[in-house]
Amino acid sequence: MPEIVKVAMADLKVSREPTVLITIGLGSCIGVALYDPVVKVGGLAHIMLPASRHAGGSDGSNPMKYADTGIEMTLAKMIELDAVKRRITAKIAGGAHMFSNMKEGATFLKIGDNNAAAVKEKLAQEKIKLLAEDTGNDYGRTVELHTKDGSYVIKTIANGSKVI
Amino acid sequence: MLHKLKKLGDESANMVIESLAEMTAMDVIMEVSAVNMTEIEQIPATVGITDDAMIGLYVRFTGDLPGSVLILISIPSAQRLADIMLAGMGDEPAEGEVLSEMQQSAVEEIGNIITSSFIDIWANTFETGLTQTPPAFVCDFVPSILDAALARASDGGDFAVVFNSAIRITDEDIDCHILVLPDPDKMQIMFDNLE
Repeated sequence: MPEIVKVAMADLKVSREPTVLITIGLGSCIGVALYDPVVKVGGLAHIMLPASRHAGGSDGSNPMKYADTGIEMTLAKMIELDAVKRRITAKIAGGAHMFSNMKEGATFLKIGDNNAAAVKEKLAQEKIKLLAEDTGNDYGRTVELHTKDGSYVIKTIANGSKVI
Repeated sequence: MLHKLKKLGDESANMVIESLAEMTAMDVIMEVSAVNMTEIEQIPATVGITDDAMIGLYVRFTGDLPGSVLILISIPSAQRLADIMLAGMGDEPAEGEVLSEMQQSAVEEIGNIITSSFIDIWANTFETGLTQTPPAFVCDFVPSILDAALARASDGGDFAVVFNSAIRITDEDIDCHILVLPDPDKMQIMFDNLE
């Protein structure tokens, strides 16, 4: 059995094969799975908000919470484990509208969409190819990144499981 | 300050207990009432309940002291609560659903009652008007429900005051967790009034 590495909210972890990086219950957050297939090093970031500039500017803010700084940190940590940036590819999941029947301002409903857009923008800026995504809709997702082959397993309560 | 917040949390939780006891005509007890000032991403650990599916009711309250109420109820508890509310008149859930439409409305009504109990106390304490939105109903992984509620709060700051209560209806083995989270960027009125 490969070792299981849990990633909490606004957290990130990187590891080598044979491990499974897991984050339980993504809602509007995005699980960004990064993988270098040659050295079999994976990184999983649980991104909560689009960009660190939204943080009210406080320096103490957790950089792992945001798409821009979270992705940068994950890449840096993978490179420390001998991953090579140009080989790293991405798969993303999450960004749901959990309270889709909420009659409130559009900003709230858009947190998931904004997170997905910010993650994609940051990946493009870092020239990381996005191989697959499972984002949006109104349900939670538990995700597992398997470092043996880069497969990204997505589990839901009522909408089945899939591997991307 | 934390002591005063705790007192406010206890008063609000007692109001919830009174309202629920009146509605269900059963013994309602409060198991935990805690107030924490914490980094938002640490809140799931302080709630410390299952990673599995539960029913979530998310309510926003607006006014000078806006915030969110998140109520988490286990699926069997929600079904029993709905049956009590509907006095056996409820219909059966459709295939693949956990609650029927009527049962869901009954559970949403519980969300309304819990929220209004809280915000009545708050509106009095802070001498301000607060209004609430209808509850948004979800049934999903608990961390996914928390994730969406907390991401919303996190947009306004890194730290939040969270009122965390667990309530139990003893006769029926019903338990329910209530989180009240004032918006992090609008908490000043609370601190000013409690000075």
